[in-house]
Amino acid sequence: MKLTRPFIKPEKLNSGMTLIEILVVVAILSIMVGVAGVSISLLSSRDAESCAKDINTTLEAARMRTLSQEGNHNFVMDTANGECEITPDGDGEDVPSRVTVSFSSEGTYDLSAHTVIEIAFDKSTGRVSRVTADSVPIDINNVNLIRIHAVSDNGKRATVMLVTATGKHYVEYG
Amino acid sequence: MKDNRGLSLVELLVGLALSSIVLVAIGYLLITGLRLSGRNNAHVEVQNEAQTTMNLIIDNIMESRGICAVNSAAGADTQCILLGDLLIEASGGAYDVYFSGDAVVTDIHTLGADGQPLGEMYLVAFPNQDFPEDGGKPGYCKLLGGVSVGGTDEAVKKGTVAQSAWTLIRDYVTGLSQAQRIQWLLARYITGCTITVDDFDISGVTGDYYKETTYYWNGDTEDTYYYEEPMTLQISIDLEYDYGNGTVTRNLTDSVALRNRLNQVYVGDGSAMYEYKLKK
Repeated sequence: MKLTRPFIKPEKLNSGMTLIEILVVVAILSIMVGVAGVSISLLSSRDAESCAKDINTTLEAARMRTLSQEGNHNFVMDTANGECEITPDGDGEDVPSRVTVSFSSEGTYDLSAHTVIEIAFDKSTGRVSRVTADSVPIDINNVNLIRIHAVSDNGKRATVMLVTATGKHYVEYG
Repeated sequence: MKDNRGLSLVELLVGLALSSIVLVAIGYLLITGLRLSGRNNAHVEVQNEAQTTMNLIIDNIMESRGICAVNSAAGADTQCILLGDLLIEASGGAYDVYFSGDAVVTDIHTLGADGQPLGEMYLVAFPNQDFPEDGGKPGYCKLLGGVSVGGTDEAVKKGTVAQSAWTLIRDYVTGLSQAQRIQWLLARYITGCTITVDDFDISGVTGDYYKETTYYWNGDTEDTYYYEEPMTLQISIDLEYDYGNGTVTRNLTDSVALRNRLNQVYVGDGSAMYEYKLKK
């Protein structure tokens, strides 16, 4: 009778991971990274602060371009569409869907009822030279301070302040 | 027979050590990058702030038709400079003061709500302000009415009145709350601001500014103060911005010559203010 030797495994096992295993691991890792990235960007875009920062940056760009380049570079904020842009350049930022933007002002004219305002700067001084609210020109002497409020769904708020007499603007948190 | 052996402890430890080294390296890179971008943003912010402020001030100075300032070389930080028409009119032995133009006021010392100095600069446009004085003229704001000062020299008397107007505007702005002042905000993060009148040396005879005494036949004397064109101002602004991981400081210095024919020049030397006339 022929004895069949049972299969004996070699002492050392040199087999690593299979290609399938590696692919599965890589796929899972990439899904996790993707989810984390999306959630982080969602979290930050939801934020009123980053929205106000974006508006402030666009305002700064419009002012700087007016001071340094030829032609008009007006800042337009449309609260109904949720976007701010520089016209006629066309650059701008979209307001995240979870943030609501509104206006208010200091002075004898109240901007809070308006949905679209356009702001033009003076070419030599950078002061605010013209404000148009819903296509109606506003007397600049009646508006000392323009506030653009960004309020997110979770109640966080940040405000862009624009001083019309000097063109100075900044973000106020809280 | 299935091989159920997993990783050995040593292998696991080596793997953990290697991955932690890699993670630490990545984290370090990330933090360095974030810090660098924060610092760069702060530099850009401060530079923008300094540059736009300086541009606006210089633009204002070059356009102005009159000036009222305290020379910083003689005193502390300039807290106020009036650029525009400061009319001082004699009426029945006293003076009425009107102003049309811009006042640049710096408040470095007042503490804000957070207990830190405000460090703000304002640009207040006249006649858009409500001053209680009545009987103004169109296009002007009446600052003071019926001010009487002693002395005989017209230049000294008018200078003293100008200094009261200068002090009035400075105190008017710095006396308001931060929320009320915001409508004039020109710059933030200011830690120092000096405006120096170049070659201002009233006691020296050879300088661009000098005093001449006229002797009358009855023994009276009158002092007149003169300046020579062009009048040059040295402006220096210090800024400091705290961006969380450190501070960025910036100094911007520029000099500007007033080319317009100035209607009124009032310069103080820290103790008194005089009216200056152009030496023709």
